[in-house]
Amino acid sequence: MAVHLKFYSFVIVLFFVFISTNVNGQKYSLSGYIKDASNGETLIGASVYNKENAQDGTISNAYGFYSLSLEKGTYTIVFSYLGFQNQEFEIVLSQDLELDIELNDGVFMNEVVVSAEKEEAKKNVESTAMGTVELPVEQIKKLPALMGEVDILKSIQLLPGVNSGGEGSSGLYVRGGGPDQNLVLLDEALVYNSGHLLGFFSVFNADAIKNTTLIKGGMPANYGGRLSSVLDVQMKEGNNKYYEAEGGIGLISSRLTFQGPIVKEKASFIVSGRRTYILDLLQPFLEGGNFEGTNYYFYDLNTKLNWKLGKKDKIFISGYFGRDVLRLSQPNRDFQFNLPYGNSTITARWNHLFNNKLFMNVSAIYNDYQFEFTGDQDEFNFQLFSGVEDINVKIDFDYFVNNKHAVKFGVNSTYHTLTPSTVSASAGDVDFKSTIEPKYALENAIYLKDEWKVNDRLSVDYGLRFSTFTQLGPYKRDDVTSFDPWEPVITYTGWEPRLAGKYSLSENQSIKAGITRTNQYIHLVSNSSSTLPTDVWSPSTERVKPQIGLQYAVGYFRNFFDNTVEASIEIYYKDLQNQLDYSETAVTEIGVDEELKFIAGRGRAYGAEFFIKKSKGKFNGWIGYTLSRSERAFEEINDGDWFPAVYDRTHDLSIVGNYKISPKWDASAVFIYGTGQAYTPLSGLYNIENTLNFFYGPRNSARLPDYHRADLSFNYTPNPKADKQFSGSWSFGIYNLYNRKNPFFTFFEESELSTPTAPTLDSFKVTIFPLIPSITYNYKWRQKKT
Amino acid sequence: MKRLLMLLFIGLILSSCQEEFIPDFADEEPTIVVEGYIQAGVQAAPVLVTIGKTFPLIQTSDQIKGPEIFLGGAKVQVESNGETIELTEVCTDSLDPSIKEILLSTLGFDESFFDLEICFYTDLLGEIDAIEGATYNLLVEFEGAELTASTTIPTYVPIDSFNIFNPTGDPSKRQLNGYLTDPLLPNFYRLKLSANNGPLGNTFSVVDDVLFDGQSFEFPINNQPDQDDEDFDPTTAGLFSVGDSILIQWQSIDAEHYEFWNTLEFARNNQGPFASYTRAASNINGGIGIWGGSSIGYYNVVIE
Repeated sequence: MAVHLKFYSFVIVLFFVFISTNVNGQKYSLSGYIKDASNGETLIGASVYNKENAQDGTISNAYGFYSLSLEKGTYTIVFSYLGFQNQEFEIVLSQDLELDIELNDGVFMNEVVVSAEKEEAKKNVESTAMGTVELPVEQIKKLPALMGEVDILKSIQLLPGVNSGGEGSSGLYVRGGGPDQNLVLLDEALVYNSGHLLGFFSVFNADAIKNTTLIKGGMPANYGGRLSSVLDVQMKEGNNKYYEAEGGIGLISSRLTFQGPIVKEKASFIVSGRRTYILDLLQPFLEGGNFEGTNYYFYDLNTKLNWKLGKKDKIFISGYFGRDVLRLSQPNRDFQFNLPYGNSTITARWNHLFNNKLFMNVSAIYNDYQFEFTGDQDEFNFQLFSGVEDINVKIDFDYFVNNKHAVKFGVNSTYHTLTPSTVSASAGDVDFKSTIEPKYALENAIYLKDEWKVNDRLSVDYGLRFSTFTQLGPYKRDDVTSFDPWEPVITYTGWEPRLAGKYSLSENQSIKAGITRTNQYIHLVSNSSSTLPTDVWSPSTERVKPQIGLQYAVGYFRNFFDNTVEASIEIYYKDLQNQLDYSETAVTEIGVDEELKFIAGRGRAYGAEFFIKKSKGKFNGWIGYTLSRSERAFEEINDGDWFPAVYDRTHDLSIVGNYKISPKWDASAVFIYGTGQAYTPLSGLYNIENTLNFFYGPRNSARLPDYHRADLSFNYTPNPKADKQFSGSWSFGIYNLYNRKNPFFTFFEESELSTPTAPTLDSFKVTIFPLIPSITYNYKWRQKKT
Repeated sequence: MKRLLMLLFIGLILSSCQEEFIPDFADEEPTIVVEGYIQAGVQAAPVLVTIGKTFPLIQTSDQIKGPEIFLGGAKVQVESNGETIELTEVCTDSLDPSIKEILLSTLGFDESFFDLEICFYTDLLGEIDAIEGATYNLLVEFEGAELTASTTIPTYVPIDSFNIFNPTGDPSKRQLNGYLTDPLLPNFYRLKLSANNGPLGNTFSVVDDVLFDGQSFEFPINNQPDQDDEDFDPTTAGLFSVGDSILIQWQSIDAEHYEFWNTLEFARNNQGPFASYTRAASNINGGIGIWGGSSIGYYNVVIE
């Protein structure tokens, strides 16, 4: 506790010293919210600046709020946001002024949008952010998708430095980090398992999503708890002007979103659902058969309410509920099992504006991931449960000190309940139960960061985060020592400094550098190449130490052709401590505490990322290429030598192109190439009990064939300009255009020709996604404007 | 669980495509493999140890000598309670063919092994007294290498009784259950069975008592799937047919012996998209394999 008090005092003193040095000259503030004129949705990251001196500028925060400080005078203020028309206002500033702005989207005013896009493109060079990408949902929706299912995570995988676990997977592996090292947030709630159907589809329904930001390097101090990246996904708030419904009918699922005002311009709601149905259609054919009642489906439900309580207060309540359900039934044998799993999140937020410079958000968040398996056969029944439940309270402040300093500070406290695979079973009257109990922990963090525009050329974003993690009782260490509820078992603390800087070489080029230290206290160890619902999250304990990451990055950023083409080269090096893996003799079995199977080692990852992007014009898209290495070393594996991680990719190339053929037709194409996945090869066989057994060579010392694939999609909008209440569009897609047989996995079988004197194996590869066409119909209904 | 998910997923959702594929192999020097057992009980077999080496996956025409398994030329000793006994090397090539076949059949080899030269090491003179609770150390000297291992024979825990019933509407099929009283303290069991004089086997043959320590309960004994049966019927999988004659081999084993089979059998069956490799947890120092002690019993059950 003494450490905490000391730290809080330090932060408070630092903060006031800092503030006092920045109060100079009489300045007035211009503040307010920036919104989409068509539906009242707030716009995140919109630019506001003085036209005569763009250095006098700021961007709107996660709630669309901005605050700009200027000396007394008359200014032309520009508001700009990607895909929207710029708006300019002549403003006489002689006192603090509040100005809410609504921007019109620029679908039919190309020349205006172009200028807005150019302004946005300047951020590539001008901001201090490195390795940060925002992908607009509208852009994601145009890209080709597996079976027509628009997928935010798979679009993110097309960016340099990000790769998927394997064929069809929506897993994220960022800059050589593990699948558990991404902070995946949906309206601030942690999503512990972001995949449906064994990870082939992500849980994010694009219709309900407003904004997606990926931070793969230079994680600002307001984020923590994961080593590699932040994927911050924000849900739409709901149209506060008109009722609106939109949806889609696809090959495997259908979607429906309904949104509208509760009290016009004051309160609104959105409800969005998605469900697969392909196996529902088969149900009539299973009736009366051996598998009657067998089914699989997944669904998502997103909902959000927001209410403006006055000029200074706003509340939001948002929730997500999603499940995958697998049911196998054999009625004639009295056998069945159910396997439901999924996430639930609820976020309640209160925005309060203390004054036109100080913005506060208080969030109370509940998130829960559950995996369940129940099986019955005759007198036996079996239940397996694992899950993670978090209760999280956080308070964040945005303090727009002046045009040189934008400060954020806050505190965060999370109570974790992690249930590993607990098992209970019964056979008749006899009950069996595993002795594994849930583990409890409290994770706290406090942070302070400042984005400081030192001068016209130099900007620095620096911050400090202090985190603590305490495993709490009830906990039984051994037969002798046990801990009561809330009694601390062990505490870890971590200082996490964050520093990023930008130096402009000229108007269209800059260099950036950053150092980031991150701590991670909750771990998911997976020995397979994809994330699975069965994967179990484990907390740091006496035996399992927190993961610590240190990332260094430098980059050169340059825009060409009057900011119509953005380009960058980023080089990074990551040092990762206390990386976890399963021991080489670990087996999947129930009733054993997962952490007893872990081994701890080191990791390192380094690489260079090349990115070039053209955002505007009839033809746009990007090329991302990454040359990288990600390695691990464990004393217990390969005599402690470094070996490539399973998600190590030497070469990773993505080419994305969109072309507007006509107002009715547009086309998109994607090409992906990646070095083959590393795997542990067999080195030989051996005989035990007259059966052949595999003898493996060094870990991950061989590669599967290189992965490559091209996808194509066409979108057809019959009435692009019609301002009708109802409109529709078609998406036609082809996944894996040239039917590349990328291996999903390989396996061996003893050959039919095998004899004891000449034992031989046959080996096979399995491809699961050949050329797959898809078709989706999307529709939109909108209440008549009054 | 992962395999189950994978099978269902592949089966229900997607049409996958499978084709031959030659992967890369690691090129390494052969490792010495030791397989040895020591059993206590009325029907216990004598101590038996075999020595082999790991061998390449794909035999090419220039590899004419075949895999190096059941090798002779080793010095094999068993030590217990300060007394060391050297096992006798027996090589089948020195035996009369008819005796060779009887001997190999008795040791569990099928016909395909009859042409192979097989050497093993055994307690020919019955000098080793395998008893419950005792620890036995193995020392192998082979081609200049020294390999050691240690195992303890635990107290035998019998299957109390059997229960046969019809779980389906099919009048010819039966489920076989056993009834076990598990003593408190960690216990490990191995079960193998044969139906109608077939070979003894079990895909997942070992179990620990983590979930049922100290309890009395009934547990299912499932028929082993026939590897060659292409008409696999999930509705009757694991069931026996009326008239089947079942031989059950039941062993109490120590923790390391359990770990070996638990990891080896997991590794044998753990292939697929979500699988990673698992190495068998060997108790042989200086090589791989198993030196496994057990207390053993057999049960004959006729399915009615």
